Amino acid sequence: MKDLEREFEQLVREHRGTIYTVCYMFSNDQDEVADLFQEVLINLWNSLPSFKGRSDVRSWIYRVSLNVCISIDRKKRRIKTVPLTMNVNPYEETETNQNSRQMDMLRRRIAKLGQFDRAIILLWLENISYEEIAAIMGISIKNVSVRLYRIKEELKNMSNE
Amino acid sequence: MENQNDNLQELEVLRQQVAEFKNRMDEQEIVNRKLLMVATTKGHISWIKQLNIGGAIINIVMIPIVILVFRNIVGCSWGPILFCELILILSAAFGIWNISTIRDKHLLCDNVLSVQQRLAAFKRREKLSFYIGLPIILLSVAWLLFDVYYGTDIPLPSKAHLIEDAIIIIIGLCFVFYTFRRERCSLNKAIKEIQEWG
Repeated sequence: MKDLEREFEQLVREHRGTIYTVCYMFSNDQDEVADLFQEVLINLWNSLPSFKGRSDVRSWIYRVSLNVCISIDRKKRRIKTVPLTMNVNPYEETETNQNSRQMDMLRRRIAKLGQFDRAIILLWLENISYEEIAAIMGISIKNVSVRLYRIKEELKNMSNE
Repeated sequence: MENQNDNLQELEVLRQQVAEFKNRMDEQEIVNRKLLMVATTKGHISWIKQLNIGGAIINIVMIPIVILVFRNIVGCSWGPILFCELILILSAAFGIWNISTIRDKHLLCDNVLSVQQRLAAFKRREKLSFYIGLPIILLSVAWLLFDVYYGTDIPLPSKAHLIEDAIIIIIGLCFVFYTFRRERCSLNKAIKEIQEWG
């Protein structure tokens, strides 16, 4: 079991940026990110033994993270959240923190989309291939391309507003 | 054409922003020992499962209590008691079966659409059972009360007391229906989105 725990720790540390980015895109504040992050970790741990070697690790991390972020009922959480170890708050606007401000603007635009559209554009923004997006989302490649076109149009219209 | 190029450029900028953000987050420690400990704690089950399993356990515990209270202490006839027992057994069995449809630990690592379809089906069954179960429960309570007061010399509560109780029950039911209606609306919205995708 210790080996599995070590493997889990290594995996989580390696992909923490990915998990955080997904949680960030589905949250409104730092506390909610911490909440989602913790829930993703719990679900990754629970599904780790059954996952082993089944598919690509990155793909699995995205599936679990997106499923948690989409399905979690934020009002009914019962577990106390452990604060994340960070010395920056991406929600805080500072003059030197130009990227945070831009990311916050992007997050707000994406938040206006539906949950599934939000997931698909996030995967596209992370440079994931159409094939991989289709596998993660459970739709056809053609559907991915049609959806993405529509979402990009929506984002474009939002930036024009 | 120029417009299209601008849009493509803009989307590329967004991609860059996400990549920069992710790099910055990779520089952060984020994960700590306590967080890992919480994640790897054995026996963690989600609140939704806790709620359903808890409900089923309460139903099972209630089975002997109902017999003890209504038959041995109050002296009701077997008709309403058996009806009440049947509701408790069916409710417990339904709760356990419904939760078993999402017990699969592979669930959350499956593709997003199929996971959301299964979760939505689970919630829909839960809501449906509520709408069917509530009138039956009220009927069994009414039957039990009728059986307690009919043909016995236990005095009926005063009219003012009855009105007071009726008002409390109506307010309670209104609150319950309002909460469930809101939840049903958000569930329907999610189901609509899933259907659009499926």
